Amino acid sequence: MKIILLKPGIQCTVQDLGRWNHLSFGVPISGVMDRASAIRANLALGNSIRSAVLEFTYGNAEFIGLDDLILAYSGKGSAIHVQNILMPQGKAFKVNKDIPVKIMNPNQGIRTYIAVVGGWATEEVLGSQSTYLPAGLGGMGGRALKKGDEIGNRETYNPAQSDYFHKIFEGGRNLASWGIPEWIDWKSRSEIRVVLGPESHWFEKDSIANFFSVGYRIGNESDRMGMSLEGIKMNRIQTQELISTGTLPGTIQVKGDGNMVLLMADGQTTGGYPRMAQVIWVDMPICAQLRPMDQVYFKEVSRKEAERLYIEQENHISKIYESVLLKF
Amino acid sequence: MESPARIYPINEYSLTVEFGNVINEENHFEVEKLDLLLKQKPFNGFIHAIPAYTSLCIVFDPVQVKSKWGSPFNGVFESLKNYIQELIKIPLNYQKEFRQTKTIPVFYGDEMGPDMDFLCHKTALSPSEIIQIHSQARYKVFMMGFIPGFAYLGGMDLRLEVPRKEVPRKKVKPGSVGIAGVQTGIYPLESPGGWQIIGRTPLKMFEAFRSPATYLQAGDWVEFRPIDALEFQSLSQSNS
Repeated sequence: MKIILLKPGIQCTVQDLGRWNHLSFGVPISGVMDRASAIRANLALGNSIRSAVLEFTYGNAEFIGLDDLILAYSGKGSAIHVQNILMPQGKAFKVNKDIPVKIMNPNQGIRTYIAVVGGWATEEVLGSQSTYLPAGLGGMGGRALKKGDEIGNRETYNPAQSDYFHKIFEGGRNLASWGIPEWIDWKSRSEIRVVLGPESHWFEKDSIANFFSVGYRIGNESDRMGMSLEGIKMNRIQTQELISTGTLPGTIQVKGDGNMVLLMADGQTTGGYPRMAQVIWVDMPICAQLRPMDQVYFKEVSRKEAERLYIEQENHISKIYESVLLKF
Repeated sequence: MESPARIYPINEYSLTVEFGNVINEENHFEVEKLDLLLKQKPFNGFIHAIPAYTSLCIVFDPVQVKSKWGSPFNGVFESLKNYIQELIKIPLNYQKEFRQTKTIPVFYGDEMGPDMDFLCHKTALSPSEIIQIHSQARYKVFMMGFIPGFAYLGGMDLRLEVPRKEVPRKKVKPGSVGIAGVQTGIYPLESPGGWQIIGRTPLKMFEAFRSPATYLQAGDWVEFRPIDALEFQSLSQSNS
């Protein structure tokens, strides 16, 4: 299965769950910004959750298949239309050769993930297919996809999975009867849960109180590396410098001017700004879909609660994967 | 002996072990030791560790840690914290000198070191004195960060201390050797950057398809060797 991209939209990259073993060399994790949506798209096809997906940014993108395609998608960035029919998210569907797949505005978020049965095939770099644009690593030769690019699926994948989907799409049927329900509560998207960071006591009491009561606006300077948070600045009581130390996605750092940045998938591996808070793992997909000008509020949860939610979600994903495999 | 390390969580899948809050070789030595111990005896669910100046950030898979942990288990972070506190106590036959010293050839000044004049002005030293001082010291790679393959080196002669550029350059050439405060470092890739550039190495500091991808690793010792234009050219060719 192969597609040719007719319109990439604002930015389309190949991503998987990231590059975790080169952080000590300064290579960020990268990978999908909204892990929940990417995994949901893969699960709808019975792919490994680690399979590479295409990450589209907003809509206005389009591709066609050079042969028949079996796809699934998920994410708040756009909606897919095939021959003027809105395709449901989280369900496998078939698109015949030469029929345009249109990734269209609007939706409420930014990013949409399209999975293909077997996973998109590009070369692994440092153990991952994820694209990291600043260093030109991974994906389609280290760059974003552009008009005319061709990309196909992994030709060697689970034969039972392949047989299953060919069978259910026999005789003109083009949509699977089952799908993967969402497990993220998008309705509470304006409330982001955080755990206090290691340097939260470096700030004035009033600043900490503001942090949890006043809303923050997502700034225009937001990308795969980080998102700027606009609102009341944080005032420090401790003026000492933090010695640079390892940083990971989800950390809310306070810059020298008191403004805050939330580190995302392509965030630097080390940093020296004090860490006010840490967005909990299960709320990171929501952050990945926040648009500039969106208003968010932070709510404190305990670290134990964050850990419990993490394990609960990962176990939930494993259970879905196991139940999908039973179909093949 | 009482362990001086402070262990705190970063997020659900990582924690930091901090050995003091002063940048020096002793503290970094503790970071290197723990990094090595974890590589030799990784716990179930261990993924990776990021060494920094005085701390090691440990990344793990909480699901694996939980499912494979023996008793007593009282939470992922708590269990790992106890484990690491014990691990730090293990004596390790590891000496600083075991780490390799890597020599980096550098062409200093001219168009490869556009901030050499600034350095001369700020330090009241001549270019040849700067080159001599910079290439006589032995440096420690304390940390890799900022961009893939960027090494933060400590141990620079304080006579070369200069502030960063007020306005960072939009593009710094790969291989550029720079100074920021008391640190010196090498830009592995073309990137924006605010360090004062005094020279350039023809060596490739980061190559994705090489193993390891970076020429330097945290813990390495580094020396600079001044080279002339001819040698720069021939080394560039043999490296490409």
